[in-house]
Amino acid sequence: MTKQEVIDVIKKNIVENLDDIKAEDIDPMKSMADYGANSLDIIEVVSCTMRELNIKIPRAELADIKNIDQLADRFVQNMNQSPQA
Amino acid sequence: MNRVGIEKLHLYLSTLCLDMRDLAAARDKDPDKVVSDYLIDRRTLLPPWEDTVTFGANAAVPIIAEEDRDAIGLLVVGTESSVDFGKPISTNIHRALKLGPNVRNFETKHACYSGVAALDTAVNYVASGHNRGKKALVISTDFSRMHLGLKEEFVMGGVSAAVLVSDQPKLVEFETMKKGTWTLDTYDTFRPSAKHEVGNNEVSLYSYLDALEGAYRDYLESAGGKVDFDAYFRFLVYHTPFAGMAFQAHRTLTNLFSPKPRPELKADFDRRVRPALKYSRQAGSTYGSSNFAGIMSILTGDTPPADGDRIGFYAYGSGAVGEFYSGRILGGAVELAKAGKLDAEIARRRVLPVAEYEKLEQLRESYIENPDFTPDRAAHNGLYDEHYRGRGRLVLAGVKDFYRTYEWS
Repeated sequence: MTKQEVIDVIKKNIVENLDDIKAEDIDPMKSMADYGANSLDIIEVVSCTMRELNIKIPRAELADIKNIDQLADRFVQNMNQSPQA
Repeated sequence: MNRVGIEKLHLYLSTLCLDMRDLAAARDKDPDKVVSDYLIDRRTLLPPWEDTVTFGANAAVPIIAEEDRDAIGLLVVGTESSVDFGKPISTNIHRALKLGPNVRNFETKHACYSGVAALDTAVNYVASGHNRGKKALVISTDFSRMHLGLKEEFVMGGVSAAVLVSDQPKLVEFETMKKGTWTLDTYDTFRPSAKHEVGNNEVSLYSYLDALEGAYRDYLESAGGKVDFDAYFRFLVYHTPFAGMAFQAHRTLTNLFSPKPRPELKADFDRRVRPALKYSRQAGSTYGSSNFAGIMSILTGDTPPADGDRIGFYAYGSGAVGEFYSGRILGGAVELAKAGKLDAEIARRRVLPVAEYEKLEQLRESYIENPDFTPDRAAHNGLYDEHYRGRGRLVLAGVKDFYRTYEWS
């Protein structure tokens, strides 16, 4: 899966969990907080995305990530480390 | 093994509080958003003459009858806000409550898990039969440090709980063989000194959820057979560092074990989780008393539970440990819980203006590690006369050369 595809999954989950936002309006260089997400919303988007991508990273390791692009990098890194069947 | 559960339960939310809308306005935040995100309406404040000793003891006073004093063989106090690193406050509370000498007492510490660590010790004492017919008194008492102007300021507060555990439970009976636990060494929120209460909010929220998932999966193994997440638990009491966290906890377990569209999730939250949040919305952070505040909320709420309804409990302590366990509501529990008239007591609390709250917090901080002080009973314009004098509450009389003296108001 490419990084762009991972970003698309994250965007889809942002749209599903936040009110009044469209995928095409989301800039990956921004943080979810810039789109009105509180800490709890961010955690839910991350959890849903990990489930969809079938990856499991201890949530505590994700606390310092600053924007959507960095989050996608971290997910891609995990997928490369443990290729899914 | 003996039956074991809660025979009596009471909460104490002090006599002062702060309205979160007032605080939001004072800090240039949107009051509606603050309340809807955190689900806290008011937070508890402690007057100068209350500390974690009085806060804990005052939860127990209304439920400890004379016959209970002779029947209690174990007193465990859970706290992360003790006033001493060596002498446990269970000793101060033992004296204040006039319990007998043949009582084992000690303090438990594990951040917000301390209350359930104390409960579990009491449950095992009774269930094992080592109690020889005696009861155990569990007290959870915690209060936040000063956080003026910090982003954490919106999730501070406290509530104390007193829980009489025995082999004649009347409110909730625990299913002792069903329990799941999960541990991780992390620095999420911690208290490295008597004044500091620090950490990283995001790390803490993530650890809380990792622990929830880990503890729940372990619970499923202990429960054997198939647990239908939607049908098995009539209520879910999640640990509430702030009540809004319960929604995220429920969303996490729901997505794992019974995914449903957002409107259905919200309806399920309203039916099974929101009834447990009544008192955390009045306390702010509930620390080690979370699960007890949840039980009391359900029992005194607008939708009376039925006999035998199962509650799933999640306790979490930063550091960290998570625990998932369950119990069933007993017949007559609603009437007993409502007889405590807790709602009337909470309605009488005085709401402090923000400026007065700030002064109070600064005064309280000056008391920490202070060898000599006498709390000013004239503070807060007649509060002592109105809420304490002649009402039989425990108060801190003073501290001299670090020795603390308590008396009944």
